[in-house]
Amino acid sequence: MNRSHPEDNESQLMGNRAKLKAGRSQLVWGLQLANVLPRASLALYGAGVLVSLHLMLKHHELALFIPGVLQYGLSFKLNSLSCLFILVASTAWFLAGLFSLPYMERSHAATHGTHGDTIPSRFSRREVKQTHIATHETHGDATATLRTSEGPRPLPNMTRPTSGYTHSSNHALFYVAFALSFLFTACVFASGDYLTLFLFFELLSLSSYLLVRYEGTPEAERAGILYLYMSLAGGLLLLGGIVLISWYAGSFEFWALHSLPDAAKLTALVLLSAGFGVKAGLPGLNAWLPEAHPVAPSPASAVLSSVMIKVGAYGIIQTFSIAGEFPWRKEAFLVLAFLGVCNIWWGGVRALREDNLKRILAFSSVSQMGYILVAVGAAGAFSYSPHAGMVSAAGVLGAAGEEASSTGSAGFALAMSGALYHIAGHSLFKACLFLVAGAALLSRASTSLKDLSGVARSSPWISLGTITATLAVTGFPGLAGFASKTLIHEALLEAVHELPAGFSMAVLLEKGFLWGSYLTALYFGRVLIHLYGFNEWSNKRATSGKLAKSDRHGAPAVFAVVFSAYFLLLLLTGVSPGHVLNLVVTPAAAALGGSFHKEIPVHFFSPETLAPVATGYVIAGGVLLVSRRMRDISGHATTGTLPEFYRSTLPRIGARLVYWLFRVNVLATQIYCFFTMAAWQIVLCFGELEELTRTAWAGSSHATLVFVHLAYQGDSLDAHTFSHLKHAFFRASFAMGQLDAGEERLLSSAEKVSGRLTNWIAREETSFEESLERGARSARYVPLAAENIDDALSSEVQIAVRGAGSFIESASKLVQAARPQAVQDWLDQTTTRAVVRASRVLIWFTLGIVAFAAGALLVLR
Amino acid sequence: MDRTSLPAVLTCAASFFPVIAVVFFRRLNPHRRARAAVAVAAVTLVLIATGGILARGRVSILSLPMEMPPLGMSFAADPLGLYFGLIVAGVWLLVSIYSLSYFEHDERAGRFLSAAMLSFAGTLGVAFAGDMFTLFLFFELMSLAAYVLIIHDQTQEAVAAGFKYLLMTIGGSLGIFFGLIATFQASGTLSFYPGHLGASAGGLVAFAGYLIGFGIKAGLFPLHIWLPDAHPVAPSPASALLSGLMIKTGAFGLIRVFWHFYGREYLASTGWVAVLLVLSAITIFLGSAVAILQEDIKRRLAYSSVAQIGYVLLGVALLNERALTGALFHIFGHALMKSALFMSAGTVIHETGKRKVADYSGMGKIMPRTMASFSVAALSMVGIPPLVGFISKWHLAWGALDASMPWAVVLLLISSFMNGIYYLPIVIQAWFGQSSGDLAPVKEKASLWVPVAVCAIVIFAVGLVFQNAPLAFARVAAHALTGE
Repeated sequence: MNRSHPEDNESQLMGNRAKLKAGRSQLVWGLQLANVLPRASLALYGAGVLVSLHLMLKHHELALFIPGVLQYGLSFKLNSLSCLFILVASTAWFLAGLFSLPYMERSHAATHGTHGDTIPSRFSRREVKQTHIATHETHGDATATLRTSEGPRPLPNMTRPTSGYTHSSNHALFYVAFALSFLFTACVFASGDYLTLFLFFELLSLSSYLLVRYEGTPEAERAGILYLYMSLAGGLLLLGGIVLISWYAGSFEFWALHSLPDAAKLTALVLLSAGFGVKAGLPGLNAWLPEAHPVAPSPASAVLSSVMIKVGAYGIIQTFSIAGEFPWRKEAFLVLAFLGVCNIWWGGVRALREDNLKRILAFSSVSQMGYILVAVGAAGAFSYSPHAGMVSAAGVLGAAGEEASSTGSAGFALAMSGALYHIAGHSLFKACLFLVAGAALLSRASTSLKDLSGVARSSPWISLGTITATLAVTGFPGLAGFASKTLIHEALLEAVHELPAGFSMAVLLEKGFLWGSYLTALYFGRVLIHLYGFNEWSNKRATSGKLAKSDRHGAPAVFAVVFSAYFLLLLLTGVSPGHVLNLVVTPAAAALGGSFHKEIPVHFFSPETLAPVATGYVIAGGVLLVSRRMRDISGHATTGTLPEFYRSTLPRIGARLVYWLFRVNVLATQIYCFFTMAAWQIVLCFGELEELTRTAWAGSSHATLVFVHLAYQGDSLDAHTFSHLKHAFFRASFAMGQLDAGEERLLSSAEKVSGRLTNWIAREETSFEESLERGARSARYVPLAAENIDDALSSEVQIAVRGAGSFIESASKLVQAARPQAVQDWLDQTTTRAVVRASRVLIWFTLGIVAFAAGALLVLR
Repeated sequence: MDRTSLPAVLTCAASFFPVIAVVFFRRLNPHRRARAAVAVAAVTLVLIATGGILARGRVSILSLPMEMPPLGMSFAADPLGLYFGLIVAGVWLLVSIYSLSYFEHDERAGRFLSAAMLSFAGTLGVAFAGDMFTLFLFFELMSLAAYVLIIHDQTQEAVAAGFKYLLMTIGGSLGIFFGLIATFQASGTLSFYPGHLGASAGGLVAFAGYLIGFGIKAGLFPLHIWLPDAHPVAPSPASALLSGLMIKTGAFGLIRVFWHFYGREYLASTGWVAVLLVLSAITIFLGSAVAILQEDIKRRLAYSSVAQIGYVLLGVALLNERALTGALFHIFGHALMKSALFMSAGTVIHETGKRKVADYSGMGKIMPRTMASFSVAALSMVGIPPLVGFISKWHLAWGALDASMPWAVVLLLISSFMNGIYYLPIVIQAWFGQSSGDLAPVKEKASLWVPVAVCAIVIFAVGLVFQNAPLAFARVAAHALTGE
């Protein structure tokens, strides 16, 4: 890393050598870590999968309390809900971790190869407007100018300046942050009270920040700082809610929320859902999401987008299901559902306009989080009571809990099952899509859709992953997304029935949900067209064929494992939704408080459920075909934005709708900017205030000076008085001087006395020191004597050892002489046989190990 | 002298011991003087700890025989004083170890060390004073000796800042003096025990005097002007002591006045405490907001101190047990965090001469141990959970809710966010930023990084260990004051 130019001057060389020397031990440590860590962490994720699966299928519940930590102790609880989330997390981490092994090795060769420039240009299109913090802005600029001033591309063996910071090539930091993020995520899901949850929530923010900014480009830095600040703010909102709850209830338990007075409960709910909402990407709080997810390395984007935003969803689900009854409950839930629909539309429309694959996927995550929020909101339409096991621990819930209507409970369970199912499904297909994007990035060194045309045809495994995940996210029957969307839709329909007449608006929600899901099919259809190169078939068929061929420099074997694993998992979770529900999802929803008293009232794969999906595909396909034909006719080579098409062909209402959505989005951004600016103005205001106090202080001291001056002036007017005063003053000072002199004389005599005292002490001290020295001199004889004794002893011992040696020698000679030849032969034979047998065993053993290692390596690479 | 006054004798001895030590400092060269300072701090710590063990939560009083009529001189060993005294001696020990190498090539080190010993005695005396007059005397000793610490470098800014400090300190002393005269005239006593003078504590004049006097020392909003000037110009050990310990004496004095003289009922009935409440709220917001704009690391830390002392004063002004516990614990936490931050900033200045925040880019690779401790302390300032900053904020927030003032919680959260804005970029740039290239990795001297690392470890451990002794102690001290 620290190799230097030969033409560097001497001093720099010395400096570099010193750096090298200091860095060597770190390097060795880092290398070992980098070899062991990825595999060890894979074992950790695998263990997470196995343990959570085991606990979930056996319906075990575990609880652990560590007293004293953070003053109140940490509490962990594992029930079927947290096990489901941990299972989802560990699966995503395991597969992404597997993927990261070849990815992290190759990504830097790819990104810093010939195509190195294409990525930043794509990402830097959008400015981060929200945080104009002076310090970090200057930092960003400083690094940027530093980088541009480096001039032409440097030699590959130098410290890489293209990356903002010099992480070594072994990516130890990445793997550490990756593993830590997993641990903290799992701990958030496993935490049994708010304090524990908050602790790991904050730690998760910090560790995932490391992942976001890992690439170190200016975009990554900016996105990272935005992410850090927003999650810090979210954590503090969460803390506010937790302080409120724990102060009212005197406890950190989750159920404490249930027993709060109404106003406090509502405030706490708003605070908590805003805090979790930053992670979950609620509208208005998701500014970081489309920035941060694309800039992270692809395996990290996969877990960020598939699991870490679910931490927020988990918190919101947990909070709202515990809250129980409170005034405006139905309104609050409706607001949540409305926010969900907003998310679906906003994410979908933005994804349609984007050109960068990873940004499309990030916006799609925003959109998919909307489904989960709609499900949670729909759950609120049913009257239900929190699960007895959750609340009865405190004795909060009495007979009222038993009287919950069975239909309400079932409806609640339906909606919550839909949310949980969608969480599990989304974590699978979104991770898979991000890994596809990663694989595409490896082969094309770009994530722009234009550059990616035909990339999916470069390898059958990537193609498999692309097709499966895209079909799943658009809700193809038989894959994971279909079942969950159907469940949510059913729950929404039932909720519309359940709600009283005043909530006629809920019907609109249902329509918004349905049409929003058609949008998903539309933008993923666009992605598919690009990834398979259909967009270039009409005019550039020859070139695209060439491009596809050039990609075939081999996808790593791990890709085959990962993408076929995703294919199997998506199929497994989607082909028989009833079994998945009964085994995994319903117990988790039951832990939240809902329960089915009979079979699930949904028939998957019936005409009613299949019809919307088919409609969606038909509409999306039609729109895409028409838009392609329009483009062919008008001769536009560029793909992507569709506004002209919308204005010309689709009915004007549709165009208006999209237009107004854009307007609303712009307005929201403006409001956001306004608030940021206002906050900044307040900070500046306080700076002004500070300046003002400072000036006031300076002014007052100046005024004092002026006053003294004036007083002096006034005084000098009356010279006579002044001279009198002066005389008096002189006389007084003379007297003071006299006094002073007397005092001084007194002092000097005292000093003399003390000097004499000091001298005496010094003399005493010297004599003491002398005696000490004498003592030391005599003491010096002691070690000498000891040394003599030691010498004598050692020579004695030496003689004894020599004697013993000669004795043993002669004894062994005696024994050899005494041993008969027959015995000797027999001994020789048996030993030879034993050695032969042992060596045979050893050889087989070694061969076995080698074979095993070779197999393992083959599988891993 | 009976057995019950033995702890007070020990604390009295601890307060005078550094002064006596200074007399013998004359005979040592600066190098030995630095070592002797470490020894003195260690011995004092042992004395106070012994006193604390012997006191066992009871209050023990020692009135010195040489009375200055009509105001006596007395020492007390009560939970509050012992708590503060232990913090002072502990942090002082760490800072004096740090000073060993910091002043290695400084020919004026001798003067600094003597003055530091004097202000050590002053700070301890403030902690252990049994009456207001004794407290005043030691407060003066501390303030005046600290002037020498501030002007140590004798640059133009240092002398200017020192002059400002001196003027304001003298003004503050006058305020305290007026206050104690008024109290004495109204009640005829200045002793903290039995205390609880209520209405006869001297009324509004005394209250204003105390508020101004102690407020200047603590850095309360309009009176904090000296603080951001004086702390950055002082040498870093002095900044650590000033920011970590000495400004706490202002809050400590206010606690003494509020709970021993006035009492909760009287303060609540008059409503004077609202002044402190509003001013400390402004202090918190202003300190955090202005710190964001600072480019000089030590100035940023100094403004952060303004904000943090605002937390303590807010806890004092909320007038309930939980808030007081939070304030006392924050005295402990902030003493550790801020002295760690100032010491590590000092190490960076000492080794590389970099003072600007922008220059911290890549510093983590140049001096990893120092910057690791810096990062822990900075994260603790932001209030990341397993660290002490979180615990004190937690108690302050609960105390604010106890006093039914939820806006204070909002204020604390906003301030935490701003702390994040001005601390996290330093940490991030230090570890991930590109270093400016002209710096080779520095060989960190053990005596420079070990004290900082000890601070960081304590910051981390106190949140994690099963028995949080400092918090328990703070709770005992707060309970002794509030619970009758």
